[in-house]
Amino acid sequence: MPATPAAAAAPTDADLREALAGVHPQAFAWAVRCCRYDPAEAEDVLHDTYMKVLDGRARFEGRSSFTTWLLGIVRRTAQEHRRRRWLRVIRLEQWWRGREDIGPVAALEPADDRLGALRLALAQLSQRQQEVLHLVFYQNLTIQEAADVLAMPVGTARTHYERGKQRLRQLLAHAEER
Amino acid sequence: MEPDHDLERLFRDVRAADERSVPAFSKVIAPRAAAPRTMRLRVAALAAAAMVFAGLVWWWRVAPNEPALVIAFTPGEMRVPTDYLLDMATFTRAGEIPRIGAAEWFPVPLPDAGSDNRRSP
Repeated sequence: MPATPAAAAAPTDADLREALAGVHPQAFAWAVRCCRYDPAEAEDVLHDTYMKVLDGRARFEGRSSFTTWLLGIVRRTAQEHRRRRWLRVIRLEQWWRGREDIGPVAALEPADDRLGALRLALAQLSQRQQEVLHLVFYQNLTIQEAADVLAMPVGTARTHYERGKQRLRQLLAHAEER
Repeated sequence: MEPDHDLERLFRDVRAADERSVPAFSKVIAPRAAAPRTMRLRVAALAAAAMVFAGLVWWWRVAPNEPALVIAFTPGEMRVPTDYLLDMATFTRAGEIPRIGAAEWFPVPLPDAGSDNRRSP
């Protein structure tokens, strides 16, 4: 369980670093998800998120768990990065890099067929369904916490969760048949 | 409610596989120089601006030296269509009841139909 900085007393820099280090793997996985499976972009997003927390631009007030709060900040920072990338004319950047933009799922090296099939099936769900399923199954959050991270009503999150799960099962079954 | 153990197990395996590729916390939090692609974008933007500037300079230098357009009033002749003014003066106002003291009313006889009362040039 990661150390959670006390909300009432102002946490020290060391406290914050310790708390961030404790949830770092989860935060990175969520950042990768928010950056459409671009690990380099996810690192940038995570760096900016940590800086926001350490500089005090984002302040934990104890209204939710530290992890839920941090994942919400990661999501917002990823959105800011995406807007900035769009402003930089992403096409020009791709041309400048001199390579084709590979698909988000193809960029990942599946460890085995089962996991590859899961990633491919997830990629076929809607963005919201993917996010809710990731938060619930991968990050082990409750649906309420997932709704908090995604800033949506819990009923909406539950709908995405149920529909996403159903569709994911269908896709996995279909992949197994082939 | 349907148990989700199958999905939980799958996601747990994915998570375990992903944890091997998580960059170190110290690496992520370390201050970083401007990303190389940001530098390249800056260079590209500067090059584009320089090209636009060079184009403007070239356009300014090779633009033809045309005389400036001057609009001025100059003395000359003005021709008035006299026949037309004569027609207007003798135009019959059929059915109009003249007002006493009206200066613009000219009691002239109706011209014959088809006749041309204009002076020959």
